[in-house]
Amino acid sequence: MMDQFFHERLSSKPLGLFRALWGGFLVFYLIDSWWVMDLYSGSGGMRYQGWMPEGKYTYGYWSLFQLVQSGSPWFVLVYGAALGSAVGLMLGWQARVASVVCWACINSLITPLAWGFAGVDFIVSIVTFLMMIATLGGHSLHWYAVQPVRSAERTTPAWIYRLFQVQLCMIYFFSGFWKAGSGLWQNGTAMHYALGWTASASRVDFSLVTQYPIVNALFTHGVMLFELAVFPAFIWVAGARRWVLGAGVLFHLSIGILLDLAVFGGVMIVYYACFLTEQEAERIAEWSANTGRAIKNWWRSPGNNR
Amino acid sequence: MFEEGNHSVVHEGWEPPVSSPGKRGLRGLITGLLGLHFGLVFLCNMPMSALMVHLDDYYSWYLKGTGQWQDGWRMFERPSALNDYYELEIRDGHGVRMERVRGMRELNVIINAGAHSPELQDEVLENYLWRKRKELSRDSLAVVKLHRYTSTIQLEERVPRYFQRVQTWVMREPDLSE
Repeated sequence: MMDQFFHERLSSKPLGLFRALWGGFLVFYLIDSWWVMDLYSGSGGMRYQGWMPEGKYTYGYWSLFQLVQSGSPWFVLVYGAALGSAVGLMLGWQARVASVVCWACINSLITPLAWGFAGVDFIVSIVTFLMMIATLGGHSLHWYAVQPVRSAERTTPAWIYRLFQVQLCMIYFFSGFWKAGSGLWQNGTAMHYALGWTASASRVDFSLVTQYPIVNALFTHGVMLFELAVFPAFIWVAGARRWVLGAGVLFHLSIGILLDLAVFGGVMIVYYACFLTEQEAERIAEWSANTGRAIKNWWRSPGNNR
Repeated sequence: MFEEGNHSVVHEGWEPPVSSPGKRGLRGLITGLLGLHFGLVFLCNMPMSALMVHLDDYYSWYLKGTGQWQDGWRMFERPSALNDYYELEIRDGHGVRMERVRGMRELNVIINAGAHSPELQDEVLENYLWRKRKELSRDSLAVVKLHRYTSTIQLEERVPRYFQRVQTWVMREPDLSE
């Protein structure tokens, strides 16, 4: 059973799609996070003013910014290399080199973050490392790449997928685990506060829901149920997988709308690509190509006056 | 139970490929390393205890060095009752204007600078505003101020009366017949 779980040969198409989507997401993430990375590691940033806790770089943490005393132009170089390598990953161009550069630069940019560090940074750092492992072995480069790996057997050992999949299940499980220890999640009122952040975070006012404690409790316990059990357990059950992924997409879109967390929603939805089948990956790639062609035709159409 | 062609489940009837002892050994080694990796990830997510603190010293270098350290996914573990909002006041050659801080990352920096490190709050926010000025105004003499407006979400006030649990006693005449 364990031998099959880790060593069965699977199609590498979903992994190729995941690599391309991940590269695209990283471009979005880096552009969105420019200002907070600049705040720490840019010229005159807080990294250089002696505020960084001394212990931050101990016990294995590292950053390329340890090597320099002043930010400019080092920050621009590292940030630019991260952005360029993310594009390389997305396109599958020099992807092995790109995956290593991407990991080194993104790790260097994320490590100095203190205030403003968010869960999405953890996920980006982890998945970029795992993607480097998958890409160095050439497993993600059989498909959807401008420089594909030409091997006869376009399959990959299952353990490459399991690295991503088990990690995602742990993220959900431990997120629910920590919530379960909090009084607000136990007594069903946590969502009352999240829905009540009308002034601070919410773009859309859902505060009407806070008038109904039963609905609040349902949402609160529903989130815990999804994180503790539904995703980590049922994603492995045949027939339930698509439902779980669908529920997850809805869950993250809701969080994205409620709390304006587009980057976090984006990273989780892109992460789901590691659970796709070959047929699903083909359909998504085909749909993307058709949409791209339709936009291109519309752009070039004579009636568009361009 | 099992679904064929699915990446997330194991199919029935799978037979391991016939391979040399060397390859079987390699598969065993990979399985062992994956087990170790997942075990360490599990450990670093566990709550702190005397045991965990001791164990951290032995394996944390691997997870921290590769960028995989994760000390618990505590997103919204304790949602705040504060419903604060923040506005930036920009004074430059064009006059005075106000802009609401909306981005969650920016709010995260502003709120956590005060909540986690009160002694550094002023310095963090001054550096933040210095960078924000370049983004908000081309005027090098522009001044940017941050305003905080505070309110607190009250659980009780939001609950309509008809949802409150009420304990009621109904008057009844005592039975005096005996």
